[in-house]
Amino acid sequence: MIQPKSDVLQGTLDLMVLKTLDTLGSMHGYGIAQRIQQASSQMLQLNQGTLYPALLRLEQKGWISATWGTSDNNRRAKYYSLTRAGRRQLAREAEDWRRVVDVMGRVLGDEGAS
Amino acid sequence: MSRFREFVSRLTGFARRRGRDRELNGLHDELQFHLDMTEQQLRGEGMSPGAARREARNRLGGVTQVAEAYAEQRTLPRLESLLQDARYGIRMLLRAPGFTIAALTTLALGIGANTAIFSMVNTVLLRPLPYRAPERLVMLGDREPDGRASNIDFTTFSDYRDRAQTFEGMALMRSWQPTLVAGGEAERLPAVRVSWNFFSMLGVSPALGRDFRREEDRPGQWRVVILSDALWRRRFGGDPAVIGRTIRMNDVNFEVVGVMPAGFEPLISGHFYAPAQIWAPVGYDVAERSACRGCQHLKGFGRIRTGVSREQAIADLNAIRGQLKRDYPAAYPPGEVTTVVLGDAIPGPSECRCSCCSAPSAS
Repeated sequence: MIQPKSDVLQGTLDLMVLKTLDTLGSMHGYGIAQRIQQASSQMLQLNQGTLYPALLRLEQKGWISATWGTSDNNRRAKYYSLTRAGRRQLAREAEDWRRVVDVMGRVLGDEGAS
Repeated sequence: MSRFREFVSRLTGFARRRGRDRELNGLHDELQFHLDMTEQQLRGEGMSPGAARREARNRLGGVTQVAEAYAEQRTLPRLESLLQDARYGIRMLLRAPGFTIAALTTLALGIGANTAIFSMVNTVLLRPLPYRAPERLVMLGDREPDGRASNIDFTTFSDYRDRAQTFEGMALMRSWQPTLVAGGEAERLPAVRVSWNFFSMLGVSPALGRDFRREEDRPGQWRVVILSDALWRRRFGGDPAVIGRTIRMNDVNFEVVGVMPAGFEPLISGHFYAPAQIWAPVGYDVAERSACRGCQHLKGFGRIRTGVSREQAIADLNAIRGQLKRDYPAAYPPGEVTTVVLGDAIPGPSECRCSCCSAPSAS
Protein backbone atom coordinates (compact mmCIF):
# COMPACT_ATOMS: atom_id res chain seq x y z
CA MET A 1 0.00 0.00 0.00
CA ILE A 2 1.30 3.42 -0.99
CA GLN A 3 1.53 5.84 1.90
CA PRO A 4 0.25 9.32 0.99
CA LYS A 5 2.97 11.91 1.35
CA SER A 6 2.70 14.10 4.45
CA ASP A 7 2.02 17.76 4.03
CA VAL A 8 4.69 20.01 5.40
CA LEU A 9 3.74 20.87 8.95
CA GLN A 10 2.96 24.48 9.65
CA GLY A 11 6.11 26.19 10.88
CA THR A 12 8.49 23.37 9.98
CA LEU A 13 9.23 24.84 6.55
CA ASP A 14 11.15 27.69 8.17
CA LEU A 15 13.27 25.25 10.12
CA MET A 16 13.96 23.16 7.03
CA VAL A 17 14.97 26.22 5.01
CA LEU A 18 17.29 27.43 7.76
CA LYS A 19 18.87 24.00 8.10
CA THR A 20 19.28 23.66 4.35
CA LEU A 21 21.04 27.01 4.08
CA ASP A 22 23.19 26.05 7.06
CA THR A 23 24.27 22.94 5.17
CA LEU A 24 24.60 24.35 1.67
CA GLY A 25 25.84 27.85 2.45
CA SER A 26 24.37 30.04 -0.27
CA MET A 27 21.61 28.65 -2.47
CA HIS A 28 18.74 29.72 -4.76
CA GLY A 29 15.08 28.82 -4.21
CA TYR A 30 15.08 25.93 -6.62
CA GLY A 31 18.13 24.42 -4.96
CA ILE A 32 16.56 24.78 -1.54
CA ALA A 33 13.40 23.03 -2.71
CA GLN A 34 15.43 20.24 -4.30
CA ARG A 35 17.49 19.76 -1.22
CA ILE A 36 14.48 19.61 1.10
CA GLN A 37 12.80 17.00 -1.04
CA GLN A 38 15.96 14.94 -1.35
CA ALA A 39 16.70 15.11 2.34
CA SER A 40 13.16 14.03 3.14
CA SER A 41 13.59 11.05 0.76
CA GLN A 42 10.66 12.39 -1.29
CA MET A 43 8.35 11.67 1.62
CA LEU A 44 7.23 15.28 1.92
CA GLN A 45 4.66 16.92 -0.31
CA LEU A 46 6.26 20.32 -0.55
CA ASN A 47 4.15 22.81 -2.40
CA GLN A 48 7.16 24.55 -3.88
CA GLY A 49 5.22 27.78 -4.39
CA THR A 50 4.93 28.31 -0.65
CA LEU A 51 8.70 28.40 -0.44
CA TYR A 52 9.03 31.89 -1.88
CA PRO A 53 6.77 33.77 0.53
CA ALA A 54 8.52 31.84 3.30
CA LEU A 55 11.91 32.99 2.01
CA LEU A 56 10.65 36.57 2.00
CA ARG A 57 9.33 36.16 5.55
CA LEU A 58 12.67 34.80 6.77
CA GLU A 59 14.43 37.67 5.04
CA GLN A 60 12.09 40.17 6.72
CA LYS A 61 12.84 38.61 10.09
CA GLY A 62 16.53 39.07 9.39
CA TRP A 63 17.39 35.36 9.51
CA ILE A 64 18.47 35.06 5.90
CA SER A 65 19.79 37.53 3.34
CA ALA A 66 19.38 37.53 -0.43
CA THR A 67 21.53 38.66 -3.34
CA TRP A 68 21.22 38.23 -7.07
CA GLY A 69 23.94 36.04 -8.55
CA THR A 70 24.65 33.66 -11.43
CA SER A 71 23.72 29.99 -11.35
CA ASP A 72 25.84 27.02 -12.47
CA ASN A 73 24.18 27.12 -15.88
CA ASN A 74 24.91 30.84 -16.19
CA ARG A 75 21.46 32.17 -15.37
CA ARG A 76 20.48 35.05 -13.11
CA ALA A 77 19.23 33.64 -9.80
CA LYS A 78 18.52 34.94 -6.35
CA TYR A 79 20.81 33.39 -3.76
CA TYR A 80 19.90 33.12 -0.10
CA SER A 81 22.24 32.62 2.81
CA LEU A 82 21.94 32.34 6.56
CA THR A 83 22.67 35.40 8.72
CA ARG A 84 24.14 35.29 12.19
CA ALA A 85 20.67 35.79 13.68
CA GLY A 86 19.43 33.00 11.43
CA ARG A 87 22.09 30.67 12.79
CA ARG A 88 20.97 31.40 16.34
CA GLN A 89 17.33 30.92 15.33
CA LEU A 90 18.19 27.59 13.74
CA ALA A 91 19.83 26.37 16.95
CA ARG A 92 16.81 27.45 18.95
CA GLU A 93 14.22 25.90 16.62
CA ALA A 94 16.16 22.66 16.20
CA GLU A 95 16.32 22.34 19.98
CA ASP A 96 12.58 22.99 20.28
CA TRP A 97 11.90 20.44 17.57
CA ARG A 98 13.97 17.76 19.25
CA ARG A 99 12.17 18.38 22.49
CA VAL A 100 8.78 18.05 20.79
CA VAL A 101 9.85 14.83 19.07
CA ASP A 102 11.14 13.47 22.35
CA VAL A 103 7.93 14.31 24.20
CA MET A 104 5.74 12.89 21.43
CA GLY A 105 7.86 9.75 21.42
CA ARG A 106 7.30 9.27 25.14
CA VAL A 107 3.59 9.97 24.89
CA LEU A 108 3.18 7.51 22.04
CA GLY A 109 5.15 4.87 23.96
CA ASP A 110 7.95 4.81 21.40
CA GLU A 111 5.94 2.52 19.16
CA GLY A 112 7.45 3.76 15.94
CA ALA A 113 10.96 4.28 17.30
CA SER A 114 12.26 0.78 16.61
CA MET B 1 12.74 41.40 17.94
CA SER B 2 12.46 39.48 14.67
CA ARG B 3 8.73 40.10 14.76
CA PHE B 4 9.44 43.81 15.01
CA ARG B 5 11.92 43.59 12.16
CA GLU B 6 9.34 41.85 10.03
CA PHE B 7 6.80 44.57 10.83
CA VAL B 8 9.25 47.33 9.93
CA SER B 9 10.09 45.53 6.72
CA ARG B 10 6.41 45.17 5.86
CA LEU B 11 5.86 48.82 6.69
CA THR B 12 8.74 49.75 4.41
CA GLY B 13 7.18 47.55 1.76
CA PHE B 14 3.95 49.44 2.24
CA ALA B 15 5.64 52.83 2.05
CA ARG B 16 7.52 51.83 -1.08
CA ARG B 17 4.51 50.58 -2.95
CA ARG B 18 5.91 52.09 -6.13
CA GLY B 19 8.89 49.76 -5.94
CA ARG B 20 6.49 46.82 -5.82
CA ASP B 21 6.39 46.13 -9.53
CA ARG B 22 10.16 45.92 -9.77
CA GLU B 23 10.26 43.59 -6.81
CA LEU B 24 7.50 41.38 -8.17
CA ASN B 25 9.33 41.28 -11.49
CA GLY B 26 12.24 39.97 -9.49
CA LEU B 27 9.99 37.29 -8.09
CA HIS B 28 8.83 36.34 -11.57
CA ASP B 29 12.44 35.96 -12.67
CA GLU B 30 13.03 33.78 -9.65
CA LEU B 31 9.99 31.62 -10.34
CA GLN B 32 10.83 31.33 -14.02
CA PHE B 33 14.27 30.12 -13.06
CA HIS B 34 12.68 27.59 -10.75
CA LEU B 35 10.34 26.34 -13.49
CA ASP B 36 13.10 26.10 -16.05
CA MET B 37 15.33 24.17 -13.71
CA THR B 38 12.58 21.74 -12.77
CA GLU B 39 11.66 21.24 -16.40
CA GLN B 40 15.26 20.60 -17.33
CA GLN B 41 15.58 18.06 -14.56
CA LEU B 42 12.39 16.25 -15.56
CA ARG B 43 13.47 16.08 -19.17
CA GLY B 44 16.75 14.63 -17.98
CA GLU B 45 14.66 11.92 -16.35
CA GLY B 46 13.16 11.16 -19.74
CA MET B 47 9.94 13.20 -19.73
CA SER B 48 8.68 14.78 -22.93
CA PRO B 49 9.13 18.59 -23.18
CA GLY B 50 5.38 19.33 -22.88
CA ALA B 51 4.85 16.97 -19.96
CA ALA B 52 7.94 18.29 -18.20
CA ARG B 53 6.64 21.89 -18.46
CA ARG B 54 3.23 20.92 -17.12
CA GLU B 55 4.73 18.91 -14.29
CA ALA B 56 7.07 21.78 -13.37
CA ARG B 57 4.14 24.20 -13.13
CA ASN B 58 2.19 21.60 -11.23
CA ARG B 59 4.89 21.24 -8.62
CA LEU B 60 5.28 24.98 -8.15
CA GLY B 61 1.56 25.48 -7.76
CA GLY B 62 0.59 28.45 -9.93
CA VAL B 63 2.71 31.53 -10.51
CA THR B 64 -0.19 33.92 -9.83
CA GLN B 65 -1.00 32.38 -6.48
CA VAL B 66 2.62 32.46 -5.43
CA ALA B 67 2.91 36.09 -6.51
CA GLU B 68 -0.19 36.95 -4.50
CA ALA B 69 1.04 35.20 -1.37
CA TYR B 70 4.40 36.88 -1.86
CA ALA B 71 2.86 40.35 -2.28
CA GLU B 72 0.80 39.77 0.83
CA GLN B 73 3.87 38.85 2.85
CA ARG B 74 5.67 41.86 1.40
CA THR B 75 3.44 44.53 2.89
CA LEU B 76 0.59 45.13 5.33
CA PRO B 77 -2.42 43.77 3.45
CA ARG B 78 -5.03 45.20 5.74
CA LEU B 79 -3.58 48.72 5.63
CA GLU B 80 -3.20 48.45 1.89
CA SER B 81 -6.77 47.32 1.25
CA LEU B 82 -8.06 49.93 3.70
CA LEU B 83 -6.35 52.63 1.66
CA GLN B 84 -7.76 51.18 -1.52
CA ASP B 85 -11.25 51.13 -0.04
CA ALA B 86 -10.91 54.72 1.15
CA ARG B 87 -9.72 55.88 -2.26
CA TYR B 88 -12.55 54.03 -3.93
CA GLY B 89 -15.09 55.51 -1.48
CA ILE B 90 -13.89 59.06 -2.05
CA ARG B 91 -13.98 58.60 -5.83
CA MET B 92 -17.55 57.33 -5.70
CA LEU B 93 -18.63 60.19 -3.42
CA LEU B 94 -17.08 62.77 -5.73
CA ARG B 95 -18.80 61.18 -8.70
CA ALA B 96 -22.24 61.70 -7.10
CA PRO B 97 -22.08 65.08 -5.31
CA GLY B 98 -25.85 65.30 -4.85
CA PHE B 99 -25.95 61.99 -3.06
CA THR B 100 -22.86 62.93 -1.06
CA ILE B 101 -24.42 66.19 0.15
CA ALA B 102 -27.68 64.44 1.04
CA ALA B 103 -25.82 61.72 2.93
CA LEU B 104 -23.60 64.19 4.76
CA THR B 105 -26.56 66.40 5.66
CA THR B 106 -28.48 63.39 6.95
CA LEU B 107 -25.52 62.33 9.06
CA ALA B 108 -24.90 65.84 10.35
CA LEU B 109 -28.55 66.39 11.28
CA GLY B 110 -28.79 62.97 12.89
CA ILE B 111 -25.70 63.49 14.96
CA GLY B 112 -26.68 67.04 15.82
CA ALA B 113 -30.21 66.13 16.89
CA ASN B 114 -28.87 63.26 18.94
CA THR B 115 -26.37 65.49 20.67
CA ALA B 116 -28.99 68.15 21.35
CA ILE B 117 -31.46 65.64 22.73
CA PHE B 118 -28.85 63.94 24.83
CA SER B 119 -27.55 67.18 26.33
CA MET B 120 -31.11 68.19 27.15
CA VAL B 121 -31.95 64.81 28.63
CA ASN B 122 -28.68 64.88 30.51
CA THR B 123 -29.28 68.27 32.11
CA VAL B 124 -33.04 68.06 32.51
CA LEU B 125 -33.80 64.45 33.26
CA LEU B 126 -30.77 62.47 34.28
CA ARG B 127 -29.15 64.77 36.75
CA PRO B 128 -31.27 65.83 39.69
CA LEU B 129 -31.07 69.54 40.34
CA PRO B 130 -28.36 70.09 42.92
CA TYR B 131 -30.69 71.86 45.34
CA ARG B 132 -32.30 70.80 48.60
CA ALA B 133 -35.65 69.02 48.04
CA PRO B 134 -35.92 70.26 44.44
CA GLU B 135 -39.38 68.74 44.00
CA ARG B 136 -40.82 71.51 46.16
CA LEU B 137 -39.14 74.32 44.26
CA VAL B 138 -41.45 76.02 41.78
CA MET B 139 -41.50 78.95 39.47
CA LEU B 140 -44.64 81.00 39.96
CA GLY B 141 -46.54 83.51 37.86
CA ASP B 142 -49.63 83.84 35.67
CA ARG B 143 -50.37 80.79 33.58
CA GLU B 144 -49.26 81.31 30.00
CA PRO B 145 -51.21 79.59 27.19
CA ASP B 146 -48.44 76.98 26.92
CA GLY B 147 -48.58 76.23 30.63
CA ARG B 148 -45.50 78.14 31.64
CA ALA B 149 -45.39 80.66 34.43
CA SER B 150 -45.15 84.26 33.26
CA ASN B 151 -42.76 86.88 34.51
CA ILE B 152 -43.84 88.74 37.58
CA ASP B 153 -43.57 92.29 38.92
CA PHE B 154 -41.96 93.16 42.21
CA THR B 155 -45.06 94.50 43.99
CA THR B 156 -47.32 91.55 43.15
CA PHE B 157 -44.49 89.21 44.12
CA SER B 158 -44.15 91.02 47.46
CA ASP B 159 -47.88 90.56 48.08
CA TYR B 160 -47.65 86.85 47.32
CA ARG B 161 -44.60 86.50 49.54
CA ASP B 162 -46.16 88.34 52.46
CA ARG B 163 -49.61 86.76 52.31
CA ALA B 164 -49.18 83.17 51.08
CA GLN B 165 -49.43 80.54 53.81
CA THR B 166 -48.44 77.53 51.70
CA PHE B 167 -44.86 78.58 50.95
CA GLU B 168 -41.76 78.36 53.09
CA GLY B 169 -40.20 81.17 51.15
CA MET B 170 -40.14 83.02 47.87
CA ALA B 171 -37.30 84.56 45.88
CA LEU B 172 -36.76 86.62 42.77
CA MET B 173 -34.36 86.76 39.88
CA ARG B 174 -33.72 89.31 37.17
CA SER B 175 -31.24 89.50 34.33
CA TRP B 176 -28.12 91.59 34.62
CA GLN B 177 -25.11 92.24 32.41
CA PRO B 178 -22.49 94.15 34.36
CA THR B 179 -19.15 95.04 32.83
CA LEU B 180 -16.32 94.08 35.10
CA VAL B 181 -13.16 96.15 34.86
CA ALA B 182 -10.21 94.47 36.55
CA GLY B 183 -6.54 94.34 35.76
CA GLY B 184 -7.01 96.76 32.84
CA GLU B 185 -9.42 94.38 31.15
CA ALA B 186 -13.13 95.01 30.70
CA GLU B 187 -15.49 92.07 30.39
CA ARG B 188 -19.23 91.87 30.13
CA LEU B 189 -20.39 89.10 32.42
CA PRO B 190 -23.48 86.92 32.27
CA ALA B 191 -25.03 87.62 35.64
CA VAL B 192 -28.28 87.70 37.55
CA ARG B 193 -29.59 89.68 40.45
CA VAL B 194 -31.45 87.65 43.03
CA SER B 195 -33.34 88.38 46.21
CA TRP B 196 -31.21 88.04 49.32
CA ASN B 197 -32.71 84.68 50.30
CA PHE B 198 -32.38 83.09 46.84
CA PHE B 199 -29.46 80.79 47.66
CA SER B 200 -30.74 79.78 51.07
CA MET B 201 -34.13 78.97 49.57
CA LEU B 202 -32.43 76.67 47.05
CA GLY B 203 -30.47 75.16 49.90
CA VAL B 204 -26.99 76.14 48.76
CA SER B 205 -24.50 78.43 50.39
CA PRO B 206 -21.21 80.03 49.34
CA ALA B 207 -18.04 77.98 49.66
CA LEU B 208 -16.14 81.08 50.66
CA GLY B 209 -17.35 84.20 52.45
CA ARG B 210 -21.05 84.62 53.15
CA ASP B 211 -24.51 84.81 51.63
CA PHE B 212 -26.39 88.07 50.98
CA ARG B 213 -28.10 89.77 53.92
CA ARG B 214 -31.66 91.07 54.07
CA GLU B 215 -30.54 94.69 54.47
CA GLU B 216 -28.40 94.44 51.33
CA ASP B 217 -31.51 93.74 49.20
CA ARG B 218 -32.64 97.38 49.14
CA PRO B 219 -32.29 100.32 46.73
CA GLY B 220 -28.81 101.76 46.98
CA GLN B 221 -27.62 98.96 49.28
CA TRP B 222 -27.14 96.16 46.78
CA ARG B 223 -23.49 96.84 45.85
CA VAL B 224 -22.33 93.44 47.02
CA VAL B 225 -21.56 90.45 44.81
CA ILE B 226 -21.01 86.70 45.02
CA LEU B 227 -18.70 85.20 42.39
CA SER B 228 -18.98 81.87 40.63
CA ASP B 229 -16.09 79.51 41.26
CA ALA B 230 -15.09 79.74 37.58
CA LEU B 231 -14.98 83.55 37.57
CA TRP B 232 -13.09 83.58 40.86
CA ARG B 233 -10.41 81.31 39.45
CA ARG B 234 -10.29 82.96 36.03
CA ARG B 235 -10.16 86.60 37.01
CA PHE B 236 -9.03 86.57 40.63
CA GLY B 237 -6.52 83.71 40.58
CA GLY B 238 -8.57 81.69 43.06
CA ASP B 239 -7.30 83.98 45.82
CA PRO B 240 -9.32 83.59 49.05
CA ALA B 241 -8.37 87.18 49.95
CA VAL B 242 -10.86 88.31 47.31
CA ILE B 243 -13.51 88.35 50.06
CA GLY B 244 -13.92 91.94 51.18
CA ARG B 245 -12.18 93.30 48.12
CA THR B 246 -13.82 96.05 46.07
CA ILE B 247 -14.34 95.45 42.36
CA ARG B 248 -15.55 97.96 39.81
CA MET B 249 -18.46 97.23 37.49
CA ASN B 250 -20.36 99.81 35.39
CA ASP B 251 -18.38 102.53 37.19
CA VAL B 252 -19.79 101.46 40.54
CA ASN B 253 -17.88 99.80 43.36
CA PHE B 254 -19.07 96.40 44.57
CA GLU B 255 -17.78 94.48 47.54
CA VAL B 256 -17.09 90.79 47.00
CA VAL B 257 -18.78 88.94 49.86
CA GLY B 258 -18.73 85.33 48.69
CA VAL B 259 -17.71 82.67 46.19
CA MET B 260 -20.08 79.85 45.27
CA PRO B 261 -18.80 76.24 45.35
CA ALA B 262 -17.43 74.75 42.14
CA GLY B 263 -20.24 72.20 42.09
CA PHE B 264 -22.94 74.85 42.21
CA GLU B 265 -24.51 75.03 38.82
CA PRO B 266 -26.50 78.15 38.07
CA LEU B 267 -29.07 75.92 36.42
CA ILE B 268 -32.02 78.19 36.89
CA SER B 269 -30.41 81.34 35.50
CA GLY B 270 -28.88 79.23 32.76
CA HIS B 271 -32.33 78.23 31.58
CA PHE B 272 -33.52 81.81 31.26
CA TYR B 273 -30.38 83.74 30.46
CA ALA B 274 -26.80 82.51 30.37
CA PRO B 275 -25.37 80.60 33.33
CA ALA B 276 -24.52 83.36 35.77
CA GLN B 277 -20.93 84.06 36.71
CA ILE B 278 -21.71 86.68 39.30
CA TRP B 279 -24.70 87.51 41.51
CA ALA B 280 -25.90 90.66 43.26
CA PRO B 281 -29.12 91.38 45.18
CA VAL B 282 -32.19 92.63 43.29
CA GLY B 283 -32.32 95.72 45.53
CA TYR B 284 -35.89 96.86 44.79
CA ASP B 285 -38.59 98.29 47.00
CA VAL B 286 -42.22 98.89 46.12
CA ALA B 287 -41.66 102.63 45.76
CA GLU B 288 -39.33 102.04 42.84
CA ARG B 289 -40.68 102.86 39.39
CA SER B 290 -39.65 99.51 37.95
CA ALA B 291 -41.56 97.82 40.77
CA CYS B 292 -44.99 98.78 39.39
CA ARG B 293 -47.81 96.22 39.14
CA GLY B 294 -47.43 95.76 35.40
CA CYS B 295 -43.66 95.83 35.31
CA GLN B 296 -43.39 92.11 34.83
CA HIS B 297 -39.71 91.59 34.21
CA LEU B 298 -38.77 89.34 37.12
CA LYS B 299 -38.80 85.59 37.61
CA GLY B 300 -40.54 84.49 40.81
CA PHE B 301 -39.67 81.29 42.65
CA GLY B 302 -41.03 79.67 45.75
CA ARG B 303 -40.51 76.68 48.00
CA ILE B 304 -43.81 74.96 48.81
CA ARG B 305 -44.15 73.89 52.44
CA THR B 306 -43.70 70.22 53.28
CA GLY B 307 -47.04 68.43 53.22
CA VAL B 308 -48.69 71.02 51.00
CA SER B 309 -49.71 69.93 47.51
CA ARG B 310 -49.01 71.95 44.43
CA GLU B 311 -52.78 72.39 43.91
CA GLN B 312 -53.16 73.83 47.39
CA ALA B 313 -50.30 76.22 46.75
CA ILE B 314 -51.86 77.35 43.46
CA ALA B 315 -55.25 77.84 45.13
CA ASP B 316 -53.58 79.89 47.85
CA LEU B 317 -51.90 82.17 45.30
CA ASN B 318 -55.07 82.47 43.20
CA ALA B 319 -56.99 83.65 46.22
CA ILE B 320 -54.41 86.39 46.72
CA ARG B 321 -54.46 87.28 43.03
CA GLY B 322 -58.28 87.55 43.10
CA GLN B 323 -58.09 89.95 45.99
CA LEU B 324 -55.41 92.02 44.21
CA LYS B 325 -57.52 92.15 41.04
CA ARG B 326 -60.45 93.46 43.06
CA ASP B 327 -58.21 96.09 44.65
CA TYR B 328 -56.40 97.08 41.44
CA PRO B 329 -58.69 96.07 38.54
CA ALA B 330 -56.68 97.92 35.91
CA ALA B 331 -53.40 96.20 36.83
CA TYR B 332 -54.47 92.58 36.29
CA PRO B 333 -55.86 90.97 33.15
CA PRO B 334 -58.12 87.94 33.55
CA GLY B 335 -56.05 84.94 34.39
CA GLU B 336 -54.84 82.66 37.08
CA VAL B 337 -51.64 81.70 38.80
CA THR B 338 -49.65 78.58 38.10
CA THR B 339 -46.60 76.97 39.62
CA VAL B 340 -44.16 74.96 37.58
CA VAL B 341 -41.97 72.50 39.39
CA LEU B 342 -38.30 73.24 38.82
CA GLY B 343 -36.86 69.92 39.62
CA ASP B 344 -37.70 66.34 40.36
CA ALA B 345 -35.06 63.67 40.58
CA ILE B 346 -37.55 61.45 38.71
CA PRO B 347 -40.14 63.41 36.77
CA GLY B 348 -43.66 62.03 36.80
CA PRO B 349 -45.14 61.05 33.45
CA SER B 350 -47.83 63.71 33.54
CA GLU B 351 -45.55 66.50 34.59
CA CYS B 352 -42.53 67.72 32.73
CA ARG B 353 -40.56 68.92 35.64
CA CYS B 354 -38.82 71.61 33.69
CA SER B 355 -41.28 73.02 31.19
CA CYS B 356 -40.36 76.38 32.63
CA CYS B 357 -36.79 75.85 31.84
CA SER B 358 -37.14 76.21 28.07
CA ALA B 359 -34.12 74.10 27.39
CA PRO B 360 -33.30 74.27 23.68
CA SER B 361 -34.94 71.08 22.56
CA ALA B 362 -35.31 69.44 19.21
CA SER B 363 -39.11 69.60 19.41
